[in-house]
Amino acid sequence: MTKLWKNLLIGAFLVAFVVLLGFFNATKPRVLVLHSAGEESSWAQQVDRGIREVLDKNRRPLSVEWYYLGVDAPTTPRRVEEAKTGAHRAIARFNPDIIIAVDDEANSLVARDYAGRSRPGILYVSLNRPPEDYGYAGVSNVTGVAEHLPFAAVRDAVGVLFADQVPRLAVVGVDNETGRAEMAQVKAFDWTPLADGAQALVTTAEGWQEFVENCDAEVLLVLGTHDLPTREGGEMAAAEINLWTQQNARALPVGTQVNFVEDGGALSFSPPPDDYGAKAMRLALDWLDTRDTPGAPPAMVSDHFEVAVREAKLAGRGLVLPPIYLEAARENGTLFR
Amino acid sequence: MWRFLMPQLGGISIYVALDIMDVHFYEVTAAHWPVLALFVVLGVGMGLVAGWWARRGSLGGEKVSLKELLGWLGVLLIPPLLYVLGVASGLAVEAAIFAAMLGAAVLLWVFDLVEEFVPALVAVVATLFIGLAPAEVALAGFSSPSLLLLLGVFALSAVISSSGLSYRIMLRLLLRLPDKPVWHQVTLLGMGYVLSPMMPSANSRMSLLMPVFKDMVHGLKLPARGPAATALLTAMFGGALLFSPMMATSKSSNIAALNFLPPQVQAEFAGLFWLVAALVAAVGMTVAHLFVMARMFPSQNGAPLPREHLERQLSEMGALKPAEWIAMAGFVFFLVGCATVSWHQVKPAYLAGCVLLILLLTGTLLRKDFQRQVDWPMIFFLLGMDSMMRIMDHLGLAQALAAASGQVYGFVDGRIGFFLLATLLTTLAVRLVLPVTAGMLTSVIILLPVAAVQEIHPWICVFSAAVFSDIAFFRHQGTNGILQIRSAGLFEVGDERSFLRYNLWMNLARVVFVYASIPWWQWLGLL
Repeated sequence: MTKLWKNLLIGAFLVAFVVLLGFFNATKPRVLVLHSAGEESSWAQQVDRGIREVLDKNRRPLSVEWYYLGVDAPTTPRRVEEAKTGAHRAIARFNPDIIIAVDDEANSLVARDYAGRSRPGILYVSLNRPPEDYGYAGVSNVTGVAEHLPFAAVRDAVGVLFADQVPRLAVVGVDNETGRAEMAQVKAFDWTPLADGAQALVTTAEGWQEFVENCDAEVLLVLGTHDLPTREGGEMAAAEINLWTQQNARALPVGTQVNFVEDGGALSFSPPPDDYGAKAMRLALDWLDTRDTPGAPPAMVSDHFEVAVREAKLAGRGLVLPPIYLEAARENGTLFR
Repeated sequence: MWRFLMPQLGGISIYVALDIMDVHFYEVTAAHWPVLALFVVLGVGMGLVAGWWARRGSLGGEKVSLKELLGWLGVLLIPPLLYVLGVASGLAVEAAIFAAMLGAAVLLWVFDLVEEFVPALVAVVATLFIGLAPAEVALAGFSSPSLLLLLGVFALSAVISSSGLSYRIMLRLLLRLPDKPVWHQVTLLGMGYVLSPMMPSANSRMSLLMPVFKDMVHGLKLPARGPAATALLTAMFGGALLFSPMMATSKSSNIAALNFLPPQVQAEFAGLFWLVAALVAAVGMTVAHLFVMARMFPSQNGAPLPREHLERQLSEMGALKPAEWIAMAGFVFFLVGCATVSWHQVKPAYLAGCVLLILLLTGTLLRKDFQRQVDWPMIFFLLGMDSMMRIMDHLGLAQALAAASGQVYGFVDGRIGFFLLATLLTTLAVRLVLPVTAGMLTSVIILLPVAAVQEIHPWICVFSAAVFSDIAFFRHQGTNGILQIRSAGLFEVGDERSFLRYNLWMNLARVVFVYASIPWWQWLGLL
């Protein structure tokens, strides 16, 4: 045997090394996380934190990309169309095995277009409207985690805080896909023994402020807040809206988003975004691992919620929560002074 | 019906009977058709090139061994096959691909196809290429304190030699000691033993002993590959290695394994009691070393030591030169620093970093010395192995192996003799693919739960794995120091065959003296 054969074998090994590893890399599973919100959104960041926690523990080689539509706040149809087209381009380029579509906008604008296809799989997260509304019912390439806002917890807590009366509950939210879905859940929920108050979805900061100032209910349920445009062409940030609402509402504002109390609110019951992220990525990994359970894992509904409390603000209104709520918030790291 | 037994890293049992007629195997193979297609293309391509070469009449030329060709053929074909078999048998993708990478690395080592440090780099690059582990894991060996430790110690060793300090020490030793080879050998052995409790790395100890060894061979004018030079080489090797398992601080994996033990056992064995419990093995191994040396390299009454010549050389060297002072100061600083770690709490690696700075800032080690005198391939080899082990740890393969192999040890049935046999077999099996440190730790991870179930003292598990992990048969297993000797070109000085024969006898002695320790452990109340 001559050196030529050795050189040929070394050359073949090098070619095989690069080609096989390159092939492996090119064909390893791909997951696209498609957010309705923008990259700077607190909600999106916390969902991502949950996703990354699961990815840190995952050992299977995987390509993950993120795409932020940034259409959670009211915006122009042209901007929505641009975001939608950009997302479709990203999907065509990345060719993901699974799209994790977070919140209703990502599903209604983009993910629903791929339902019923062989690829990619759709994994919806934090969906407020029923999956059937997006054409997901009975479709084999769709699964996910639907969101139930923790209204039962809100009703119970309000019942405790206003034990000797029948408080009226007003509701305010932002007029977007998610806001409308949340409002639909509000309307479908049995609030007895609470009385119904006014309800509104607004598109401007002034609209929000007017509704809050004129609200004469005892409790104001604050649905998901987003940055809102002002009539002068400016913008009021979601955090400002939360703080302003707490400071100016005669009714007790109760948030349904995780950052409501952090921004200055007194009380919130919110779906845990990091838990949603973690659940979604776990489902995605389960879907990709066909060894034990081939096919899409069954869809689920998440009833988990977390409590956040700012004791001083509640005390300022002469309200006292039972210790169990305070301890739950303390355990969660969401008990503020 | 063909059946293959293959190790199971991520499944329920250690062995999976894989039926190649199984439909699943065909499915997996069919799903990997591009791999098969590539090999067909490569085969055809190689045939075409060879044919073209033959037509040009240039197929002759330099001959290569059949072993080398088979090795390359194996490296080309076996890793993809391992991957497909792994996936077909239900292994997780990451476990299957790591098994394939490990297979390639072992074949490169076993068939001696490339320099020792290359396979580890192949594995690290492949890991990064496919994203099997993030860069901070795959390159962790290169960003660990070990880098400073190795750099500092290798640089110090180089300066001790180049400054003439080791030659001066050797001249003084030869003039002071009785003029008998056994004294020269015992001196090297003793120096290694003295360094052992303070320096938890056999490679570092070897680096510091090498200059003295080289100068001793040179000063005594010992013929290359003769029995006297080989005896000195084995004495240096024994000095650096034999004491490794005998104290918690003389081997880095001992310190790591100590952390696996219950806190009260850690407290008991962190100090001198480890040595007390290892006494029979320590004394036995030393006696065995001296016995094997005496039988294999009997002292020959060669020409008497040219004392006048040596004294003249010593006087010609004059007073200590600045470089020698600095080398000595660096050595003493490092030695004292290592011995007093429990007081100042500065890790030996950072002390080695300070030594490196001393050598560089004083100009004792210049740029070209730094390039040429530091054994970079050895540093890359050791750090590459470190990285490979971190990748394996990241993938959780050692734990999976431990979980999968638990039921295999039922035969031990609480009997210490069988437990030691299980430890020996496990460690030898693991050491086929892993270096000393990782091999020992992996064995300990696998065997500690077995020891707990069988009511055998956990320290015995750690100690026996530490002793058995120093056993080496194949060239690629020489991470216990043999590779370092080869890398430093010392088999040009000592005879490799005799040295490896000595090593085989000491392998046997390790097993014998671990078993001989059983009565001692019973007397100490460990059994």
